[in-house]
Amino acid sequence: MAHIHLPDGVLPITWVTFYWLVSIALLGIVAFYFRRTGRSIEVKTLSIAGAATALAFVIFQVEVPIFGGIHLNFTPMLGILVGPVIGSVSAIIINILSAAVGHGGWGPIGLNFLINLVEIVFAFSIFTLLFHRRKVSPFLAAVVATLIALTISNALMVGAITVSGIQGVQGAELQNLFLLALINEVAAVVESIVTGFLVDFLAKVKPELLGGSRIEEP
Amino acid sequence: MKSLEKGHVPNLATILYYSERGGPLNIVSPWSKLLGLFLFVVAATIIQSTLLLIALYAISVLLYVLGKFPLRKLLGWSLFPVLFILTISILFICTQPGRPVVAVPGAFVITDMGLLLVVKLLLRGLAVVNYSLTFIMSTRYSEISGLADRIFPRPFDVIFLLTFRFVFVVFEVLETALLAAWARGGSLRRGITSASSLYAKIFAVGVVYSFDKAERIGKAMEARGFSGELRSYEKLRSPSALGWAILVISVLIVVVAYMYQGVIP
Amino acid sequence: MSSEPLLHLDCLSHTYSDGTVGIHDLCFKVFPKEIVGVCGPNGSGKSTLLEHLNGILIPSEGEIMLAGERIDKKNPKKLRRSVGLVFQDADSQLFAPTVMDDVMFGPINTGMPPAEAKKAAEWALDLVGFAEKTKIPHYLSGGEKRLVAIAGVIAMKPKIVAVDEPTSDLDPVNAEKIEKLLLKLRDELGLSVVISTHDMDLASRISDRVYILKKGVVLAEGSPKDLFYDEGLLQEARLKPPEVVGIYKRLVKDRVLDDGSRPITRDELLSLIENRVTNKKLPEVI
Repeated sequence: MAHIHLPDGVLPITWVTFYWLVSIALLGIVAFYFRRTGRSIEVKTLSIAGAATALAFVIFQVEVPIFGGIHLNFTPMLGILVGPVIGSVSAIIINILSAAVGHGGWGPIGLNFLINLVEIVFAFSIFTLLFHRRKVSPFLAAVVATLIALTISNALMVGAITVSGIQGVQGAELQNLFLLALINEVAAVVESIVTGFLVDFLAKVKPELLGGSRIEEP
Repeated sequence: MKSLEKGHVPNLATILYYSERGGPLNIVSPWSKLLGLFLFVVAATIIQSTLLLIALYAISVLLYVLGKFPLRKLLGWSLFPVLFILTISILFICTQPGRPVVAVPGAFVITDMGLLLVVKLLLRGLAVVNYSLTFIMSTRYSEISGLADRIFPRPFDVIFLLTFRFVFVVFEVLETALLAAWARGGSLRRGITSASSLYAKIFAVGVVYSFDKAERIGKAMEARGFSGELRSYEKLRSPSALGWAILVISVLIVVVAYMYQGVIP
Repeated sequence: MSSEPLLHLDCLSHTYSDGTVGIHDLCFKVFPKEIVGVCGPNGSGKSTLLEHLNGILIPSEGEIMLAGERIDKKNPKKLRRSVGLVFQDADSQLFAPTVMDDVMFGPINTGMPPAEAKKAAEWALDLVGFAEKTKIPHYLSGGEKRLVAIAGVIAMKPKIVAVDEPTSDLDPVNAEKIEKLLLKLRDELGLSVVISTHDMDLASRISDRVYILKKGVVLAEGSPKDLFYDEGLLQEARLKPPEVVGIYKRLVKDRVLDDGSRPITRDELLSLIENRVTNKKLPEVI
């Protein structure tokens, strides 16, 4: 897995509630933005959001045969493809669908969503900077954007668990979560490489999906 | 969706098969089941007593069995949640104060409280997973859509319903692409770069196709005068009197269990 | 046939954002209670034309007149209410959770209250002969998807139904079902139907009038009899004549039948042959 989906019961109820409230507040802003700009009835926006969300959910089901089998997150790729606004809607729906099939708990959806949102925002911002502004190659831009996004989200998750504590654990200290961070980081490297290849392919075949112009073959 | 089906990942087609087949739990109102899910999550989070957590887990398995769903599949589907929980909790087996159970001199000491921690986290997590799966496997697709339509604000409801629709299509596209790749020796690829490159291309096919499809579906929606609403007209049954009674009693049990769990080990 | 067209596309041109010319200076009319066939090879502009009928695409040049009223970017809704469009890929059209939800989608969007929309959906599904209203659209067969897609458009009570490649990818039994349905729409409901197809046999069997397109331009317009016997025209349009035309020409060449009647359907041809056999006029053997 590219990052751990926290199950129910790990986080204390107060922190579960806190993360949910923050998530709802952020989603409220997104819903307000949609209504205000009229995008809530823009057919293209809605259908792309549906497609992107479904993609991310399905790609997670596919086992990539590396290190015995890895399941990719796809949220950085979501950020690159659709940006933070639609990405945030996709992230919450993916978390709900994932919880429904047992990948992660319902309670931690709040925290999982916030972590996904960080991945989406950072991947989008760094990719935009590198690919669109600095004209770095799509492969490299995607690898760097994904790796940085997942590393930051990894650190945030470890930090959040340290701050919230784990139920029943006395003194959950940072070093104890090292293994968790390490697994996440290894998966992040793999996901970065896959995302790099994916973006490189799209840049050649359908560059409009990346918001750019066709790259000419030499 | 055979090629995408792995024993540890719940397959949408399998879930849909059971939900549409109609079983003993399909007669329960989807609202009741949803409220039950909320109760399960709260109970799994706030209850600290081991015995009560065992009872919660047992109830979740009982409900699953009552729904006439295959236990073998549930065991397979539990692998991921177990892995997640172990990854987080295994580190604390050695750091929790308590009586040593397994001691490797100079290396680590596993305490009884450490083991208990892992067991309790497993019980909490798996109880909710079991109930969650029971919920979606006993609730028809149209009822899930109805719930989403009534609970989520616009545009989340529309996007959720479209996502459901797209998931079927994307699954098939990726499966076809995978099979086509395997048919030409793709499954023999080893190594991070080689495998990554292959799967990236397969996912890219999924991306391109999905976005093309999204454009076409968007046009079709416009052609029928889409005005921002995608509704589900499924009538959702309200909880029956018995359903309400069970829910109320369950809430009381959870509250009492929480308040008096100090006296239960 | 009424002299006033229901829908008139006057000198329409459409260029896509990448510079591809979809259609150019195209004139197209639909009269009440007729079936219009739009024929042409791949890339001739058939789908582009159909998407203009429903207002999905707005022309770069030209006018669209609906019952004498000009339609533009500001009032596409009128067009959408009057002209229903069934896409070639029925899978793209069905996106609701159940068949019933999907068929109700269009009527709701036209402003029908849910109860009335439900009645309209039930009526449309009965008309197309599809009974399983709670089924999940994704799991329908190709033929069933096409039927439900058509029901979803008919339920909106349009005056014109445009169907893009109505029988492509269907097995013969389902193709025949769709064909009969299209005739039903004209004969029993009094609707006008526009079909885009490169299946010349289908076009010859059911169309009252045909447009032949090539590279976004109308090459010819007329009755199937007039157009499908014009070898030069069909060659220019890269179309093959209907099978009946080929057989008839061969029989005329072999002097089994006389030139002049130009049958366009299998039944017409069989009728000619039966008459010939009944009258015992044997061909001269040379």
